[in-house]
Parts: sequence; C-alpha cells; structure tokens
Amino acid sequence: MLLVNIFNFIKGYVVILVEGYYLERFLNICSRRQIYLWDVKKLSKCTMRLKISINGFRLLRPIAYKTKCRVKILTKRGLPFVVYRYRKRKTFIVGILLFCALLWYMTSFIWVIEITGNENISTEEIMENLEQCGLKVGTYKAGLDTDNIQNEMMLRLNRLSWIGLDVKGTKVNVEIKERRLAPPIFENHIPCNIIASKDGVIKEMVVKNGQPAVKEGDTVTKGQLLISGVLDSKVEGVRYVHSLGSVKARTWYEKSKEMKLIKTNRIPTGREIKKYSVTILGQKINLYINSGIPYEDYDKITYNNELSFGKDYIIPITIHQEQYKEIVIEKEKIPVEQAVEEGTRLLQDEFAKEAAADIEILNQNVEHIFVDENTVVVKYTVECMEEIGVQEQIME
Amino acid sequence: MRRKRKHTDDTKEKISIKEKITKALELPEEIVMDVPKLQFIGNKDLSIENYKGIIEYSEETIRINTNTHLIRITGHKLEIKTITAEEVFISGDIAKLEFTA
Repeated sequence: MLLVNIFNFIKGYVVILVEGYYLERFLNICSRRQIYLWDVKKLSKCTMRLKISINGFRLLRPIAYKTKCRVKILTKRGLPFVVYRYRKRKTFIVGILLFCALLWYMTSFIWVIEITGNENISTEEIMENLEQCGLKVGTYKAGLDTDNIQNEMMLRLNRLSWIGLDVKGTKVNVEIKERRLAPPIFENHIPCNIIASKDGVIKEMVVKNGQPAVKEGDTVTKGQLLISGVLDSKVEGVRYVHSLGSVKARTWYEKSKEMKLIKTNRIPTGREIKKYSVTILGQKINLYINSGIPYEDYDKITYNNELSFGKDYIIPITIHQEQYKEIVIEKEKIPVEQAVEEGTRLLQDEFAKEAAADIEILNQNVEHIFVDENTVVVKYTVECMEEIGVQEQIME
Repeated sequence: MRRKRKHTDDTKEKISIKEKITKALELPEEIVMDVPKLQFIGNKDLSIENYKGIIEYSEETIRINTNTHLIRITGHKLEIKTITAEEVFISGDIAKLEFTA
C-alpha cells in the first residue's frame, strides 16, 4: 500500500466531497469509465468523501451532471500541486538545479586513492609515482587512462609484479602485487669470499671450494673472512675462485626490557562530551565554541566520516567527531614474577621475529635486576646455532 | 408441461457440461463461468473481483450486484478502499455476508 500511496502522491490527487441521492450510481459510472477512486467514505446518507486522481477529476463533470451530484474539492495533494505552488520561485528552482549540477561536478573527480597489497613499497612512494603518471586526488575522471597509468607504473617501479587500477565512483582502488627480489646469488664463475654475517664461535665448517681462513672453535667477529676465494700456490700463482661452503657457529643474543611493577588502569567514568568539526576542501571548521575540556584525565577518540553517496561516490567533505571520555587513573601493583614472565614473553616474541628461519636455539636464560622499587629489568639471553657464512664478491 | 420439464433438464445438463469442461481443464472458474471472486483477509478486508455494480452503499451495509448473485455485506464502519472496473476493495468490521439470487 505504501508504494501505491507514493505513486499517488507523485501523480497527484484531489480529495472531493460528493453530495447527492444517487451516490451508488455515481460510483458505478466512475468504475465503468475506468476512473480510479479510493478511500471512499460515506459521511452521511447523501454525502461521501473520496480520493480521485487529477485526470479522473477532469472526467467527473458529465458524471456529476448525469447523477445530479454536487462535487466539491476539499484538498489538493501531491507533487503536481507543490510544483505549481512553487512555479514562480525562480531562485528555488535554480537552487535545485545548482545542487544537482554541483553534485554531478563534484563526483566527476577522484577524491580518494586507496592502495592495497603493498608490503615493502611505501604508500607514499606509490602515491608519488601515481601523481607523476597523472593520477592524484582531484584528477578529473573523464581524462583518466587507467591502462596507460598501469603500464607506466610498471615501468617506473621495477619492484611491482602487477598493478591494477579500478575506478569506482570517486574512488580509485589501486591493487598491487610486489615482486619478490631474490637475494643476490653470485654465479659460479664470479670469484667470491665467504665472510661472517654475525659474531660467534665456529662449531662446524664444511668447505667445498676455496681456502678456509679460520678453523672450528675459533671466535669470529662480524665481517671476518671465513673462506677465502684467493688461492695462492707456488706452482700456479694467484687464482681467484668462487668459494662455497657452510659455516655454522654458536651465536649469542641478549635482549633486555624494562618492566614497570605498577600498572595504570584507565577506568572510564561514563561521562563524555562530543565535539564536531567539518573539513570542506581542506578547511577545518569547528562546530563548537567552547574548546575547553572539563575533565582532568580523559581519552580522546576521533572519528572521521567522509560523506559519500553509496560506497563509492565520496564527496570531499569530512565530518569529524571528537569524543572525550572521562577516566579515572588507578594504580595497581603487580608481583615481580608476573612482570618478569610478561617481559620474557615479549622478548621471546621479539626474538622470534628477528631471528633467521633456520636458527636452532640451544640455551636460553632469563635474569632480572631491580632498578628501583617499581622497575625491574628483564634480561633474556639465548644461545643459538646458525649459519653465518655469506658470500661477498672479490673486487680485483 | 412435459415440454417445460424437458427444457429445464436440458439447461441443467448444459451448465454441467460447461462446468465439467472448466473443471477438467482447470480453467479459472471466475472468468469462464463469469462468477465473482471473493477474497477475505480476516474479517477486515474483502476484495470482490468480477462485479457488476454497487446497489447500496452505507457504513453499515453494502450491496453489490454480480452476474450470479446479489452480495450483501453488513458490518460497522464499512468503507470502499478502492474501486476500479474489475475490482472493489472493501474494508471495515465485516459481520455478515449473504448471497441472494
């Protein structure tokens, strides 16, 4: 019924009062002549109120005459009458047109560039390159050649393996796949040394090619020569070879972290205030007068809402909501064991992230030292076994 | 007398054949037989399709003429929601519905 009502409103209708003795006949003739009537309500013996479309009303005069009924208009409703009422208000119409035009104009630019899929290439770098290719925030949409930009981007950044541009409304989704660059491996004929990548004590050494410069049990420092690619013999003179081999060493890592024994809990009191501001084309306008915050301790949360039509037509107007939540800071003392445990866990995670994949942990140790009564330093030492040899080209 | 009796028998047979065909072919009866189709929603809303005309209309009683019967609806606050050439839609507290020839 709602849909019918909306349709009727758009088409426009009249509420009329019909007076007469042959109301039934009136209804029958109307229905036979395909005039649509609705909400027919009998008010008294010889009056009824009903709704009729504008076109239907124009056909009513002969029927009223025929049935000797008198027809009176009560109200006119619907869009045609509204339009008629405002027909002389030119600025109003101009305003509507201007609004539509502005909306159309605003949505014909790119307002948002979203980059996904980049891991090592920074978003700024991609943005910079896109700008040089002719795509930036504010670019006119019609002149955008995405294929061309894609090709140019591929030429500019050799770390890209694929780039896809997808214009959706006022938004461009840039999808990126990065090329994984292989670690430099020197080909067999290029002479090279093997040097230590870390400090350690050599545990195991397998030399396939080249001259060993150290032996098992030696302590080496980072950058020290392990296997030399320079062979010097009395018979053949100096030769340069591509050294090859594996050097495993015991290495030590030490990490420490300061842990506080007092934990501060931020408990919200439930009281909060909200402040709004609007950014239109880079200009921020505050929608509040009093800038003070009545709380001693508070958390500030900022929400930025970009105005958009649907998901893709974004308009360069942002509404900022700043929420200030009052909090009470409570201090809690935590036992030393718990702090040390927590610290150890954090340090272990940190180590696991940094260490090479093929590392073998032999020993690990945790110590803690009090700095003052509220601070403790957790020291985490690990003894590992790992490959430390890396190739380095010999420069002649 | 005899002739008249035969005539009535004949018409009876004729209708039944028409009925039989419609039933066998599963045709919509209200179109083929030209009978009204009534549809109730509770006792509040009633739509009558294939009607001929309104004979009486007041808040308490509505009488509608169809090809086969005269339908008399009684109740309170009866109102014609919509009226077109094919359908009349009545709403209100319907208490009684009668078919008379």
